[in-house]
Amino acid sequence: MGPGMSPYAELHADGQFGEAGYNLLFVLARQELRRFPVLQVATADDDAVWDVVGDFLVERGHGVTTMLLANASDDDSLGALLRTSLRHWLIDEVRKTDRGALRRRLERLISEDERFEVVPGGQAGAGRWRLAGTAGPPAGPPLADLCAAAWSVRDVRIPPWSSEERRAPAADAESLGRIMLAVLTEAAGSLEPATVVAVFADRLPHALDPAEEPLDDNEAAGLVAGGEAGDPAEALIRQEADRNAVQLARDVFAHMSAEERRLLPHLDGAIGDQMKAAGRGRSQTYLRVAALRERLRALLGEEQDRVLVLGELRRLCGTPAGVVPDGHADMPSIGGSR
Amino acid sequence: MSDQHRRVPERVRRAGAAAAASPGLIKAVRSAENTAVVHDPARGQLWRASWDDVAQLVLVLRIIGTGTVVVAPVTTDPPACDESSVVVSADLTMLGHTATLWGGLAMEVPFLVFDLLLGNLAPTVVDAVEHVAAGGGAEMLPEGVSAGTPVVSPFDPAAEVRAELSDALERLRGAAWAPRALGSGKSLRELLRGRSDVPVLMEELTKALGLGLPDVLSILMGKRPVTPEQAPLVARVTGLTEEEVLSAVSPLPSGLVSELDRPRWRKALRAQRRSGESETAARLTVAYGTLALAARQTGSASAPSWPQRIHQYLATHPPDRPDR
Repeated sequence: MGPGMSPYAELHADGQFGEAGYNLLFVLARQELRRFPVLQVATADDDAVWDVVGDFLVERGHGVTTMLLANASDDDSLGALLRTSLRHWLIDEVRKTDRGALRRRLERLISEDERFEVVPGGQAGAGRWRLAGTAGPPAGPPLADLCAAAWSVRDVRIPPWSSEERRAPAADAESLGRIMLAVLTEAAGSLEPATVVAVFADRLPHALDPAEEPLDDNEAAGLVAGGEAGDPAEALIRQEADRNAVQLARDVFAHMSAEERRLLPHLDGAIGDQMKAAGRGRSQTYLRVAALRERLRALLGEEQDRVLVLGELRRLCGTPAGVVPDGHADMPSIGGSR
Repeated sequence: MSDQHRRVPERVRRAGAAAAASPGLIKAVRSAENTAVVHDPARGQLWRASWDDVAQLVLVLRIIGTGTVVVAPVTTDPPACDESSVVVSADLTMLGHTATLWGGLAMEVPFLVFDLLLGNLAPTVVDAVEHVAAGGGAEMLPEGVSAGTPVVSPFDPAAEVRAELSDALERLRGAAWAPRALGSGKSLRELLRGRSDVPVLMEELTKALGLGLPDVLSILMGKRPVTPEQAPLVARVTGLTEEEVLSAVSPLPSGLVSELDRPRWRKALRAQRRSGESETAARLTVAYGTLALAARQTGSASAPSWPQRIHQYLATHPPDRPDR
């Protein structure tokens, strides 16, 4: 590979990245990492970014160079395709991290909540999780049945979220306990921890969905502090509505990405408006609308005050100032229970 | 993006070298880029399809009528699939890597997006793609071919990949460059008739477009197209809408448009682009240049041989010629 060659020319000459290609990858990695706060701990210096580049090449490299050589027709298209591949990989990395955090939270629940226990060594299924005081054997019910049991638990609450925490909690301890109880009861025996984590990941999809456009500290601090106290619409809602519903809306809002906040006011709107809000093509917009509905369903369940929560959410997401939702007609629809 | 080159750690170089593309693919790309004769797409072929900023590897499933082809997207990264796709092993394609053939996303696209022919897949693999996409079972698939696993949730990473592919194909399907018959079909001269400031406008247009007076006259007469890049400038100077400006050209014969859409011309047409110019602009220039050439040589009443005329135009208007 010659000096001064472009990434595209290098790839064409040798079928692999050269000096310019690696440097392009470095710059793209550093830019894309900024979108994922949970990964930013590893981006303090160039060495850490090179580690990310190296991991990406080890895990995805051959598929990526194959894709680039087959698809790219110049340096511009190579850069765009490479950025997309890198972003997909980073999202997968975030999901792995989030799944690890969810598992650690559930391990803590099993060890701290007297209703559950780890099957002791020497017994069948040692290391699995089960209801305390039962001698249930290792169980293997269909994952779908366990997920259905988890979804039968409603009124899942998420605790207040503060900017000091990198990752917002999936749900409060009481809600997690109720879901765990339903799942282990359905299993009628002990379950592999990995199976339980998979069930919780299905029930709490927001816990694993990377927000690509994180809140800045000022915005997050404002939410935790209780919002805009002087806002007349805020005052009206506070007088008329359940305080818990307003707080829940804030907590849900804190979990939403900037794109979701743009989309929410258009949840029941025309696809054209949704595409404009998302700034994406039709299929990607459909997918994001479906995911947002699913997340809201998972977070709000069958709340009595769901309509009120959605109204407050809609206000937070930028419905024209001064408009206070006062009925079902204005509420975005998130469909029935699963 | 900084141009400053950093020292690349040895561990990264090793990972990059281990990820080198297969020799078979490198050979296929070089061979395709150097081939003198490019034929129209045919069933079972793997092509790079591209238009504007969309570039996508596709498998040709069937040809429909004139200049329209049903294709399925093909991916090697990120690793993803769905229930209507098949995953083929590395040794079944020239890609040298496991690939997903997304039969369920098959869509019609025009000839003009076909860019580079990379090779052919075995008919049994193409049949398997259609079989699985039609909801057929996973049994009896050829060795090395397996049905994809279902996408069960909108949070599944494969759902995102699928949506991106679907949008990319949608954009390829909408690719077009020839002006449509819009509005009155009047030339700029007719649209500006009665205005006293036409001489001033012409002078302003020469400055705004960076063209000589003869070229501006051709544009006003509708004998030279206004490119998408020029339209806002012409609209600003004349006070017309961009749509009026873009439609104020003589319509192109459909035979000429169809011929220029064939992959055999793609490379030459792209080479005609000036710096910063779109492929659409280059195609318009070549099309109207060819049309003018045909009219001069045979008169517009006769039916010219478009391939011959295009060859002639390209031969006499190399990319670096200032007046091409």
